[in-house]
Amino acid sequence: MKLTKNIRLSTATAVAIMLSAFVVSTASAQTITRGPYLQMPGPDRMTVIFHTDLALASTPEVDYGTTVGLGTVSSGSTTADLMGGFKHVVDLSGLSDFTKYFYAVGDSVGPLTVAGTDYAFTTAPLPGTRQPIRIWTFGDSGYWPGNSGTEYRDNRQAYYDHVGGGDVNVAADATDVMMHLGDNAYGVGDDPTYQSVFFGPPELAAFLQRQPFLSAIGNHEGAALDSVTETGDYFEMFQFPTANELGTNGVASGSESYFSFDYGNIHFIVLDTEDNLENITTTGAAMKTWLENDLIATTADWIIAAWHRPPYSKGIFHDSDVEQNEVDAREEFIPLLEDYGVDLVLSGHSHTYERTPLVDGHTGLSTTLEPYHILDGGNGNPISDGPYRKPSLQQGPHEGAVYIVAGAAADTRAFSPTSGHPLMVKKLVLAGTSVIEVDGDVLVGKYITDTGLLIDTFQIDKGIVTDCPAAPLGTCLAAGKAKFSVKASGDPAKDQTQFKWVKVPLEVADMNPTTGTDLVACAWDDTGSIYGVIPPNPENLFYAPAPMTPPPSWSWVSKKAGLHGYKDKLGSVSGLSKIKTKAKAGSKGVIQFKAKGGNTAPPALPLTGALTTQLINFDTGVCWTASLTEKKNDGTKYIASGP
Amino acid sequence: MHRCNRATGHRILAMAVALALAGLWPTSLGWAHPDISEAEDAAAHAIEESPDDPALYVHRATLERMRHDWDAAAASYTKALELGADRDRIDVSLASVLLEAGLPKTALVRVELALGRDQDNGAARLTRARILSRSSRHADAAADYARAVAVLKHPEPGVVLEAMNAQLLRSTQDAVATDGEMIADSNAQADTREENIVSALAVADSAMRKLSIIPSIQERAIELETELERYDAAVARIDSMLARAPRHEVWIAQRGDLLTAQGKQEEAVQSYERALALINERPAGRRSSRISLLATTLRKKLDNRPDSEMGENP
Repeated sequence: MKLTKNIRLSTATAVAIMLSAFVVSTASAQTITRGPYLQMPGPDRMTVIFHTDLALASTPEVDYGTTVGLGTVSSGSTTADLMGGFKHVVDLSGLSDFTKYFYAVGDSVGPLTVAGTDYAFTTAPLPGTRQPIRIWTFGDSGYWPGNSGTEYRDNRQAYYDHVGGGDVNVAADATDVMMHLGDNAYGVGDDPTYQSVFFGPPELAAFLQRQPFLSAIGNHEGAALDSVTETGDYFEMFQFPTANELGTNGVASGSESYFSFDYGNIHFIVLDTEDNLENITTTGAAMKTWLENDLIATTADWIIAAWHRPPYSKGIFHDSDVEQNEVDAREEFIPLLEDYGVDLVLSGHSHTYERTPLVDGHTGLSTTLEPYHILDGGNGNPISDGPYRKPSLQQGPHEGAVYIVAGAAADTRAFSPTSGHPLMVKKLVLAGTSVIEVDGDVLVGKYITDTGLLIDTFQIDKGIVTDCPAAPLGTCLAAGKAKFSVKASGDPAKDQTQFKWVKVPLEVADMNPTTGTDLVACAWDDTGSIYGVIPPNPENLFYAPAPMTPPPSWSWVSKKAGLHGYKDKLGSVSGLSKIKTKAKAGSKGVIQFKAKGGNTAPPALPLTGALTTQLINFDTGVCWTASLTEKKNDGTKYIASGP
Repeated sequence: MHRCNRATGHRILAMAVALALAGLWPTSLGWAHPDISEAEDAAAHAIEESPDDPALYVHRATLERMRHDWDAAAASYTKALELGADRDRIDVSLASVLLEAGLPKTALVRVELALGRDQDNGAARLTRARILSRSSRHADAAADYARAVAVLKHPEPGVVLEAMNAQLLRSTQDAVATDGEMIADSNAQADTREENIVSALAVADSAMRKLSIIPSIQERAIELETELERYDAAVARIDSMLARAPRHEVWIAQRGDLLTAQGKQEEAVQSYERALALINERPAGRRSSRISLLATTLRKKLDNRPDSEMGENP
């Protein structure tokens, strides 16, 4: 393009020159028929692709720089496209990480786009960088021309409104990763269909020229491609990393059908639920081998996996109990991913929004769902049930993952049965797209409908252990009366402990452990924390220390509003044997925990000095406290009550 | 700036109009994710509107193939060919359909039309390799697989593994009839296992020169190097992977095993200790099943080493 020298004169002069060149080139020669669009976004690279109807005068060029003055020119290559024109690919390398660049595309004659703020991108941060990251993700944005694409257009605008005040450029800049979940165009996902519904709509093209995107293969794309030879329209249109090009601490897949990349402190894994999954014992075996090696290698704080066909769904046409690819995805991928601590799994295919709570280990049919598959049955909303919590910041095997079906970007379909999949905590037949925001140790997931409603919010906190603090909390509600006792005779089978608070200001709304109130009971003497019980409720079952973990069949019983309990009538459980939480107005609440047997693990007796017990609700931050007076304290028995 | 492809737009519009007139075009609530038969109906109507568009017949053939209607798919591909569709692409597609239909001999004739025009048509090479493999012409298949990997711009790892496996079968001479069609193996020879492995490794390296080091391929290569007791080569392959993933405990431990097999006990111990140290950097609750098992195995190996105080062989 040879603009460098001119642009150095002044920005205004440069813009005038570029506008002049644009007019000349478009008046006399090529028209851009697709793009420019961006691919292969790494900390030090970006690929710019554009199509023209006529051949360029030279090799394609991209002029780019950190100001609208641009200044650096890279050349690329040209091939024939499937529209009878030409496809131009220019790789930009040696870029600075997390830096905004402006660009213009063209050839040696001049630019075909106007340099300015409409054509810009930001490179990825270095792997491991902890900074706010926003992901826009959805599946099934494709539509038949007769379907008009209204919902997809409205979904796009709703997202632009949500993150960019309605401005597509602002929205693109506010997006770090655009992750398509497949079926981006329908029919057989071929080039003409993509041109019509994906590259064509101007308001999406405007987004794509400043925000790179990545994608999983959908079944519609799958019909027009051969993953095994990487041939077909999809592979002609897009470029995905096969050899760690984007900077990752995973390993190279060698395939554009399945791959990984890092963006900041997130490790993304994209899998193929079409050809490679369908041939998982033959050619697809390479995908599974790669997946485990990739998981071993990554040290990212977060692991997010994405593929098209959902492991859990009751979409009317895509029942994960019936559709073989969905069954296979569940059986082949999930055990491996969960064993390496996957945090979030994204898929599409069903034209619904379905979202699980924090779950683990459910690889069977929906009829085989057991309470122990649900590690936290709450809705994960930080302002109601509280966020999901995972103790490990990096890989935490079997600490739970959230699974999302976000396949309603352009159409909605019902559930069958209408009650949907029993694993889901959210089931919506509403068009929309998902937004995932990660900031350090916190991940927030949102669902934005095509009418702009924020209709689901959940949060995952990592590196959070809901355990007894080193010292009693300072601002707790006072319990009217409390008791703490320990029996430790030397025979573990006869060990016992008991916490009890009565006359507690506990309202019905304060606590419902059956749906996931996060509790811990703690005791301190003058030496510090001496004992804690983490009652196993659907939310914090996982956090129960191993000796106290109840049997899988354990569950709370709700007898009436505000009264929840568990009693091991058979006496088969060594550890927690009775739990009772009774909420009643007028400071008449009761909370009691009893444990007995070899798993009780009582504190070493005698205790030292004054005793404080507290019950802490980690979801709400509310706690109840009591200072107890010692009644008995010898080597085998301790009893204290008060105040 | 953004100009839609006019021909495409017309074709889709024609499809929409045809279906709307027929009362079949879906409403937004009724049909955005059609099953195959619905898609075929749409394709059929589009063909009625534009009967001379070869792309529509290819589209229809793809759908017919998805529901295993080989006769219909073959007919659609043939029609597309008559209307001027890309000959190479159609010949390969037709050959694949014929193979899927259990007619390898006929498939071979078809794919060789494409190869006759271009010996370096990677898709055709691969298709012929599969036809020959299905016909138990393992030596010929191995040669085609190797060539396919060499000429394909981006051979998928799964294909590379398939090609490597074909090299290992080169000496198998067991031509078996497939649905009444049998093809004699013109190139069968009694290769030794070692020669076959060397061929398989050559295929792996040929692919990785294009793809970079791909663990799913390299791991298989290491197995084969180990089978030949070429431990130095196996270690070099492990190191090539570790260069990109330096804390991969499984590969570091495997490196130790290879060094042990060479009698390089001291270096092996260093690898084991390094792997164990990395595992120990993961808190106990943050280890996968495989990593936990590996930790146990490594501790045993280190305890049992000759110079260990805990060793069984002092």
